[in-house]
Amino acid sequence: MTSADVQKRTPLTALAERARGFHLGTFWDRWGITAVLAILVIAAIVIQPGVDRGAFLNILNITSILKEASYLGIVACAMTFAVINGTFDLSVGGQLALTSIVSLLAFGIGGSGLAIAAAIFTGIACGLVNSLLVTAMRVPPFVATLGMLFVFRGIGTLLTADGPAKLPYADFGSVFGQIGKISFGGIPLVFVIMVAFFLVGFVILRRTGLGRQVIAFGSSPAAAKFSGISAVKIRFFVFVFLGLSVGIAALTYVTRIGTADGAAQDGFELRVITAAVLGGASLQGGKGSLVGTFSAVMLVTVLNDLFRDLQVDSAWQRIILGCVLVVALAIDGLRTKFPGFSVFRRVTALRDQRVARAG
Amino acid sequence: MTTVVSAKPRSAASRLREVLASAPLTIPLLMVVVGLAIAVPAFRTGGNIENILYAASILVIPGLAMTLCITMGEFDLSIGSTLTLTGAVACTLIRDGYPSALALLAALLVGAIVGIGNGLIITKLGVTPFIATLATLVIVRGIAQAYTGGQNVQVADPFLKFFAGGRVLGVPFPIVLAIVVIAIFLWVTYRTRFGRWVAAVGSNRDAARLSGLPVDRIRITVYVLIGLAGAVWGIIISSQLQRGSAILGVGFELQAITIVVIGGTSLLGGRASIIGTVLGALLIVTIQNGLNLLNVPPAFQDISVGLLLVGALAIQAIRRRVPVEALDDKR
Amino acid sequence: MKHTKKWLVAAAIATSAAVALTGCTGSTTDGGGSSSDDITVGFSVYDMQYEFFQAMAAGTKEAVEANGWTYKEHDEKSDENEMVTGAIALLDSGIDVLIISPFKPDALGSIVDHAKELGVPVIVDDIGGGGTDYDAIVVSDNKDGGVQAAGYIDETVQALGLTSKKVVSITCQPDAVYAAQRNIGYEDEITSLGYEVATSLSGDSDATKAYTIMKDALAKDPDVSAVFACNDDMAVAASNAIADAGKVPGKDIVVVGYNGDPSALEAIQAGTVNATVAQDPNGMGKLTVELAKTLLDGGEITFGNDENREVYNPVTLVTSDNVADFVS
Repeated sequence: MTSADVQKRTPLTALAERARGFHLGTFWDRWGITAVLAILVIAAIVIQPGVDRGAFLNILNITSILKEASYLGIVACAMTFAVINGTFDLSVGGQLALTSIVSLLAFGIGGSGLAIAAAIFTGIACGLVNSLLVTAMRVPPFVATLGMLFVFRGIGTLLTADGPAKLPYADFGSVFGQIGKISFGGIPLVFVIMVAFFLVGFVILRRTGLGRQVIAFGSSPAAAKFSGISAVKIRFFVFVFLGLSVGIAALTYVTRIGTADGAAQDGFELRVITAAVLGGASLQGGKGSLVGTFSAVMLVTVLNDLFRDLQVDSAWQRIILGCVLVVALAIDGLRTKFPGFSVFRRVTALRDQRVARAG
Repeated sequence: MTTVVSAKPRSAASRLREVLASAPLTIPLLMVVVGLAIAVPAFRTGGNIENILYAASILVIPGLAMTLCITMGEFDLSIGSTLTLTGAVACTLIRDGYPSALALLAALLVGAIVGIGNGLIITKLGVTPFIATLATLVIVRGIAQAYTGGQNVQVADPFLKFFAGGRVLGVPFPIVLAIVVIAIFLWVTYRTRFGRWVAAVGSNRDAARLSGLPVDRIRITVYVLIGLAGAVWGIIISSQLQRGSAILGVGFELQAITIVVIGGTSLLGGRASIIGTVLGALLIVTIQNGLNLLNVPPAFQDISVGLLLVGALAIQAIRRRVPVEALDDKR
Repeated sequence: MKHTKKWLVAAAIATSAAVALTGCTGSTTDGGGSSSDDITVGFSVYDMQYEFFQAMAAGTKEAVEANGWTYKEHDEKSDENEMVTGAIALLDSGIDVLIISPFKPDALGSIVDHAKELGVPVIVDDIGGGGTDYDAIVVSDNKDGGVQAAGYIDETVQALGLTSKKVVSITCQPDAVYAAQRNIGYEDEITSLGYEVATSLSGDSDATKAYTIMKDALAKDPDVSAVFACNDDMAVAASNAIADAGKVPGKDIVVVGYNGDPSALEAIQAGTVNATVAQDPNGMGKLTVELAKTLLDGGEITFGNDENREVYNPVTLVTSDNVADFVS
């Protein structure tokens, strides 16, 4: 850089200055998945243009996508907390099945009010069991939640030994049944619940001391301990929060599907963790983004919708989804392996090299 | 989290001590065996005991490979899909007229390739093993589906049949194979450099790298071993059913992981318990066998496995009094 | 530079995956507004990984296209969430009639509800109707199939000179309520014929589980004379287990399956399985399209069972005598 360059402050150089301050890595961290989601949505609109039935932007299609994303999103939000904290919960699928079953059975006994209360209560109860195992009994979370996955599903199967729990067809009009159905101008109630849950989660994570403790503990347990953060309290909160999220998610799920048994939503836990990690949460702990998780959930749901509309063979659906996951994580993994990477700096370094060699 | 890895060769006495150290497992196993022997007459028959050993043998081979992986502090969730793909490959080649031995070698090769794939994604692209193998699980199953076109591949091949139905000196082949594999793994884990390296990587990967160990190569090798074990599993299952199909093997990886975890190999890595895995396989299979004999519905079987998993480790952990944050498996 | 390349390649893959989706299509037809000649039939199927449902889809598609209509397919992939979301998506895309083979019949509520709102008739193919307001359901007569199997087993046991009166019953996954009728029919009939069901366990519709169950059943009662499995995958697996246990399936123990899958037909020809009760999924698919045509033309359907609006498709016992007719 000669002294002559420094004097010239044209709009072009000002723009260049701004661009230099732009770090691709940080952008990707916060908005990477959202960007991919945007690209996917644009591609979807291009593939299925218009607003008539069959088009991507058709109101029925949008409503359907938002409805489908809700139960995955709510639990993924809570799972993000867990992953940031350096742990995860493999039993959420079993919790969802059990909570849905109990909720439906409660409806049969006491109507909508009891059903809603039962869902939340059962979710929290499951979360309590997990947290007790992990804190008081010191069982490693992987094992504790894996074991409880079997136990929750088993209990669910026992409760439905005489046949799946069901919301009777006649009762679809009840308050309980309507939760899964109502929408406001195309925006389903369940989606509103999901957004509300994310907002609450965001506030807790980024604006409260509790949230900061969750993150601190995830980044460096030793340092957190020395700062006096109670590991037990934080873990306890994380698992109970997960249980609560499953309770709420069950309400959005079971009022749409109308039935549940012990084997419901097999593989749910892995989809939830995938969403959280795709959204930028690192299994090492200390890093995660609720915006990212939200976008990841929408990304997976939109992708599924496209697969369906284009009648993609299920073999290819699996392959593509797996590859998307690998690619997203490879980007993240490469950045961890090679930190401090910036396109601008690389180019500048090359140019400086050439200048140095010439001069 | 560092664990001292024994550098001396293990004597018979120390090995016995290790068996007893898996005491949380040997006692429940003995209790279950004795209880069933008394309560269910059919349990005591030679045929039934053979059934138990047979089923445990099939499960223990992938379990041992998984033990190495968990000793390294990592997971491989894709072994179930590997089983499916390799079985499908073997059956398809046999059906298309290729010599059986060649078909089985091809299956092993495919398993190894999946393992290399896993290893490369994890080491070169830096993806966490849990999620990387989760992705491969999905991809490999998709490949199996595309490869078979959703069809069952039916075969009737005596060479293949031998792997599940054949006998060596009167003992079913899988049991013989399992004994050989157990011996090999005992030797590799406790008496070779490689075994110590795996434990070292599991204790502290950075320290291992700094001491000059070829960490990436070690990790890839372990994933290849799992891929091969998955292929063997696939071959045996295909042999049992005389069929290859993309719908087999769903959820099998959890079985493999469960027996390792029950067996006492720590998820934190650094210490392998081969005997523990073997006992874990025996315990799970015995319980399932007992429940089958008693006509107990599947729901109970799942609950019992879950409770067992949680219980065994709760007992261990309480005795250890480990602080909460040390329970994470962070790498 | 290696790193930039990798990153760019990764980004390229992500975007091209989305774009490439245009390439991998099956039959991409846009439902759009339909004139009276332009009928689109949506078929939502349990899981295309099973040969049974592949045959059902093939039959449905043939019949639809024979009518000059358009065919749209959806694979539920054994997932109730996928079932509900996908079937509703089919309805939203503008189909004129919905034929569905539900993974979980009890989840049909919201689908049938939505179909009623859109004025689209719903025909259920097999599995179950979940007590909802579908227009018709086509089922195989499962209970009769189980009864036929029991009768055949009794005959064959006597013909082979087997002395034991103990039999084994392997059921499908517990929530397949219509399929459960098979073993119920079988167990009722076989006990009335004087046999004892020594082992009755759920193989969860899975071949590997059935294999272990059969082995354990043999260890418990080495002298059983027959086994009836709720589907062919499990029957063939049981047959293999018998062979591995040192007995001859088909001769020492009578093996009967259900469905009429190619794998079972081959086994019958080879003699390792004695019989199967063949459903005709292809025919069931065609039947549903016939019923659809009747409804769209404003006609009335004659039901086999008026209360549940059931239309029966007959099942056939397939043995070595008539297996040649079934192998396509």
